[in-house]
Amino acid sequence: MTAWRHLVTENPMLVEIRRAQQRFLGRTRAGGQIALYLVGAVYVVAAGVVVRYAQYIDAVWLVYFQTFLFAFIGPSVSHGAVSGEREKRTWDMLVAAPVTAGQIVWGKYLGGCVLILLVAALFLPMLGVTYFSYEVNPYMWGDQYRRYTFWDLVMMDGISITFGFFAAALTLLFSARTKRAFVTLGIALVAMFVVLVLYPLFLNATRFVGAESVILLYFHPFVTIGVLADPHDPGLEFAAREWIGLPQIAINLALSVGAVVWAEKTLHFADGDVKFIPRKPHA
Amino acid sequence: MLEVRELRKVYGTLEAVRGVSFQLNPGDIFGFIGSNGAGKTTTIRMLATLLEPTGGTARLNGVDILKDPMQIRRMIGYMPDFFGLYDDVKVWEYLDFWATVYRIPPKQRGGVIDQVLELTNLSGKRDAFVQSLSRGMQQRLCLAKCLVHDPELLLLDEPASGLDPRARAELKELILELGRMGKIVVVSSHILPELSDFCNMVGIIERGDLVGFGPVKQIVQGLRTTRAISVRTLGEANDLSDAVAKDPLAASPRANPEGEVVFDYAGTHEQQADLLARLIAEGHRIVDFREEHADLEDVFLKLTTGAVN
Repeated sequence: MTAWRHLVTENPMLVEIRRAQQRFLGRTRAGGQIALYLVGAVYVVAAGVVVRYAQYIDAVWLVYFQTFLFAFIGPSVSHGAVSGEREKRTWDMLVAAPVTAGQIVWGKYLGGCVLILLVAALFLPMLGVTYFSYEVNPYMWGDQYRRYTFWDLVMMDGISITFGFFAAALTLLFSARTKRAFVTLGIALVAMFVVLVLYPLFLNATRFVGAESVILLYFHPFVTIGVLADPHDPGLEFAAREWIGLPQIAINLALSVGAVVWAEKTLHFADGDVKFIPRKPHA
Repeated sequence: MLEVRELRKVYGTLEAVRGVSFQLNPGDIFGFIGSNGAGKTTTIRMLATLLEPTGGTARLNGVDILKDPMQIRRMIGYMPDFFGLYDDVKVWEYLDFWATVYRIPPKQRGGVIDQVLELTNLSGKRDAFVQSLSRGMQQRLCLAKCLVHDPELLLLDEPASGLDPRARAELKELILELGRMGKIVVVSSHILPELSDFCNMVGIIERGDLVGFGPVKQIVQGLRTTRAISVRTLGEANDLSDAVAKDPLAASPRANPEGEVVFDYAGTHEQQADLLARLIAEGHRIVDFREEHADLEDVFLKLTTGAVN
């Protein structure tokens, strides 16, 4: 409980949540304001289309789309958390303030998570409408069709959101280890691409589906959401259907905590000049 | 009171700061002078608890920087040499952020922000975006940020760098005001004449050693055992130089192209007056006879060799 108080309830760095609002949702630059209006307009149009054609849209596709967005939003909200401060030369002033490294890192991380939750909240009404309005095509499925439950949808959304948290945490770790915000963003996006696209493609191409691969695929958000979305799927070879949902959410959260704690432990990267990949001593 | 005792910092084989010791009292404005790489910034960063000293320590009002760095951070305001600001927010939002970080209660924040804006003469820019401020204003905003928690010690690393003359003058006034408020202000700078204008204490560091420390007047006067005297004549400067050389208390008189004779004089003021009387009596048409006052720059050049780590 002491750690909870220190890092969350009594952490002055939670002001980062307000700063994130000011940066991403405030009226900062004219360009930013226009972008905000554009995003708002796109959302209104998309929501209108979804509501109008809700009976044809399966909610699971919205969860897929949301997860896809989180692969970009996660890195976007936390790529500059530490490296951006270093780049702008604001880091020293922050470190010289009466806050611990843990408070800085958790404040920044939670500030990013609030934006992820905000995006998730924008998706919620559309998920609800499509779930209750979707009509199964009898010509395609016949009488055999069984639909995923509302609880399954909640689990899918939970996996999607916690994957966003993980993406933000992983990016924060990279941010603590680099000196340029754009470098951090690049590394994070490449990492997302490798995990979400290259790795499954590699497995598919090599047709190597050993136990390790299946377990790793089980952690892949799109795979787990897909299993949850299809009640006919008995689950993966090494994971019974009943074990898909809450465990993945817990794993995503645990990985997120691990990445943030690791980031906190390596905050002195620039000062101590500790390299991410240790440099070989000169011959 | 700030007490710095035998502060040392070693990077591998390089000793960046070698046992620096000094003491400052509330209201002292301390000019920290040294070439690039002399150890000023390293010393300031150790005082700001950003760097862990290899040896020695410092105490601010009895609180040790090593034993209780968090308490020290509540008592200091630190402005780095190259600093940045969050440029995507408004001035008051920026200060509100720092007031929150320094745990100023929400009800007091508005008042504190107004006070520091007034002190730094930025009240009119309260709702301006940080990115729209001039360099001088950004410097003052950074100083305002250092003041939101009413610190007892201000560590200002090269605060005047990159400022135009007017901005420098405004900054100087602000630092003087902070000294009058009873704060200890440590200012590092290369601009020596400016430092001597507003600092009452000065320290000169070279290759990590504090080679001079004390009140500005004392350190300037204490350094010179002789006075530099400049004499201008309507006649031949070389003749005048020969005449000055006859005085055993005058050392190495030399005539410069402007017709002046400059020399060091070790005598008293009475003996100095006698010398002037003799020169006039010998027929030299003296139009100017004055004592050159040593300044901080002379002291700095005399005490240091320009060597860096």
